[in-house]
Amino acid sequence: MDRIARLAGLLALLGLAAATPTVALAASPDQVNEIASQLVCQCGCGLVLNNCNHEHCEPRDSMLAYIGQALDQGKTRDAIIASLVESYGEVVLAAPTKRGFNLVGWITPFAAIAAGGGIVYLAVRAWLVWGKRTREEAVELAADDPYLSRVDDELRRYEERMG
Amino acid sequence: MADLGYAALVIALAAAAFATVAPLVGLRWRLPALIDSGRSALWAAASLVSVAGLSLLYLLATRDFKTQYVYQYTSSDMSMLYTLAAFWAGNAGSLLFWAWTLGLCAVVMLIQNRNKNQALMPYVTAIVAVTMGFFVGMMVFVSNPFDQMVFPQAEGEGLNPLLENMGMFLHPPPQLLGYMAFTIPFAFAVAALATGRLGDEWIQSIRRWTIFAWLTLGVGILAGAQWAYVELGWGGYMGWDPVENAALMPWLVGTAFLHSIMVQRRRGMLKVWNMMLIIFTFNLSILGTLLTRSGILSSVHSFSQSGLGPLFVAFIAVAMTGSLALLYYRMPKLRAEHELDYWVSRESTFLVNNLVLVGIAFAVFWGTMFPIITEAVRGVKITVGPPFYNQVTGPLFLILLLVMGICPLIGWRHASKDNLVRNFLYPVAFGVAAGIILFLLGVRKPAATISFAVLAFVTAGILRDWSRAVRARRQMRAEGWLRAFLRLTGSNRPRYGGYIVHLSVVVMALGITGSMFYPLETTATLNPGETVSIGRYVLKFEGASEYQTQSKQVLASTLTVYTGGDYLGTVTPERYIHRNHDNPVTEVAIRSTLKEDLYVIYGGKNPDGTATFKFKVNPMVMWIWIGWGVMLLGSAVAFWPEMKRWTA
Repeated sequence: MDRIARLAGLLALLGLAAATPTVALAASPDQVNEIASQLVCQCGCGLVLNNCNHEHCEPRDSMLAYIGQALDQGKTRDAIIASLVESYGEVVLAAPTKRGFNLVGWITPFAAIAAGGGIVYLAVRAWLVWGKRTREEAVELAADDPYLSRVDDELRRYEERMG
Repeated sequence: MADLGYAALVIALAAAAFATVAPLVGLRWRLPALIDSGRSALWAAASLVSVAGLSLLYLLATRDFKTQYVYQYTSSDMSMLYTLAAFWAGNAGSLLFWAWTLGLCAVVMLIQNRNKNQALMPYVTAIVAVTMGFFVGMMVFVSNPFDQMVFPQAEGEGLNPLLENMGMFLHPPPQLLGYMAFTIPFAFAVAALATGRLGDEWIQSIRRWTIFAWLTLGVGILAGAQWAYVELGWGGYMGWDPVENAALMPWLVGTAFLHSIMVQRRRGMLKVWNMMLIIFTFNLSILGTLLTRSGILSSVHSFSQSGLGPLFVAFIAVAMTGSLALLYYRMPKLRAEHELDYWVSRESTFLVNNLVLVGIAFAVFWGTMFPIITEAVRGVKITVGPPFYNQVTGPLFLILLLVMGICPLIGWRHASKDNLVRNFLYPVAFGVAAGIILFLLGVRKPAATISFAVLAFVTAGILRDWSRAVRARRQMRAEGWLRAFLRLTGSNRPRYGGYIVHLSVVVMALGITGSMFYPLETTATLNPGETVSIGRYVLKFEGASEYQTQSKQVLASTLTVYTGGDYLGTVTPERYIHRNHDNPVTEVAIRSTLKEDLYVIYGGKNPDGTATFKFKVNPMVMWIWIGWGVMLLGSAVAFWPEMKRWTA
């Protein structure tokens, strides 16, 4: 039922595109491909529209035909995509829009990495502080140790003797 | 034979259950004999699963169509090789393959550790056994590969034609094995947490297992990419399909783990982090098996769907919660043995490397799950496809490559300013020069130019470090160049094996960058004798033909290829219509060179006698497959055991 409704919507779009009196501009395959690369074929293959390789694919052929016709009539890329979204729903887009809740999809990976970076920064800073403290304690211990002082004295005398 | 297979599975389940419980009870009540019997039970479970596996192979080989699985995935006209490969074509067979490979891994692990790691082994045995028991249980109770047909048929349905490709041998087996092999490092990690023996012992025991799992999964992923490229007929190798993503996630986190255990071995740091990484790697592997076989997400792999999902989810939930709870309990004992001395050190670059790898894995996970989240929150179905992943992970992969180049140039603990200048000067100069030259040669897309420049920098850094070490060895030992190079590489296989793997990543990234940024594509409907141009190629359609084979109808077309007026050869893209499957299968024609692939897809013959084609020129794709080979070589070098020197 859902599929029939979508097909009816697309046919209506095709009809509208055909009925609109505009100056014909020949759509290049590259333009069609560019728009198709932003869409997903609705036959269930799950592939980007211009990659669907089913021999007889009604959704693919209809959508590509619509894109070609709409380009010929001078419609913009965004307008074509918007009308296909209206017909099929957001599922036709190969990637979520960068609006509303979908923004969460785009931002979250970078936000997570930024948060991870913050944690790494804090961890490294803490390690550096501990490392510095450990080195200072080691130096203090060395200064208090009579045996180490004796070793230092002997090393100094040895170096003086060696010139 | 089917009864034997099923009986073996039922007894294997009992043996796995015993192997799970016995070592733990033996530890609790101090009964060494019970612990030993747990190990024997794991041996028995693995052997029984092997019996079940061999039974299914026998049923496939004899084309026993009374067995439902054999009926569903084979037919009499299939070659014996593909008939046997149907073992992993469906859910039940894949579950058996997983259990069998895990059993084989368990046996190798038991042999390796028969005289060592005695404190860890009871827990390791229990964890491996419970994982194996889970898969065997699924077969016994949910998806039995030995189910018999209610109404036996004389002929089977045959394999999905898309699966009749060499990729069927190169892609699923290593990928499924890779998923399972990560069980062994995970089991050792949990054993270390349970026993509180959190030093180097468990890390030493799992390094090669981790490389093995990482390599097999990586080989499987790349074989899948190559298969998609030659078989699916859309001209790409990575469609960011949920099942592809499912394999990529544990591989990425496993890569982070392989790197960060170096920091633990060398400096006694990142212990908690390493535990988390291996816990997530294992659970992502199980998630991979879930996504591969449940069909909960729409996928090109949807020839295998089932209702196994809830059980997998429950297993992951238990494994994740249990291991993380254990990790939390042991946190006080996992403090770092050393601190960081300076900001600029190799340890810091490892942290950045880990952050980016885990970040990419998270981005892939998020993209895979976002359609489900959106549907739950907004009630709207959306698609998360290649444009999303390319935009989100593309910059992250570039940063990762950069870090890969920087890391070997910075020393452990501290790098002085002089040291940094000395190490970075030539690689940076080489990278910048490469970028400028490529720009002047017409590589003007910023992302592509930056990517190539970074790859040049990484290569120069690795080669410079390696050549310096070879030079130093030559001077010290008075060896020739080749001898010094081989001896040096052999003396530190993990390091130089790692360098070869890094170079393989560079080679693959070259291919990915070229093919992503500079592809050409056109479609054409041609009459015989007509030509079409794409890039430097002119293709002339010579004609189409049809013929019948035993299993399929072949629709063939022939085109001659010219460049600059010179004849290069012919290509014959085809379409197959298989007897048992309605949808035709594309058999693309690919003319590969190091520079580019000419990729021709035959769309079919039209009623007016014309034929429709799609033509693509994909630059540098062959480099991806060359990189794959180099990766195998590097991993083999890193994996290969050190030779023991015999002394008199």
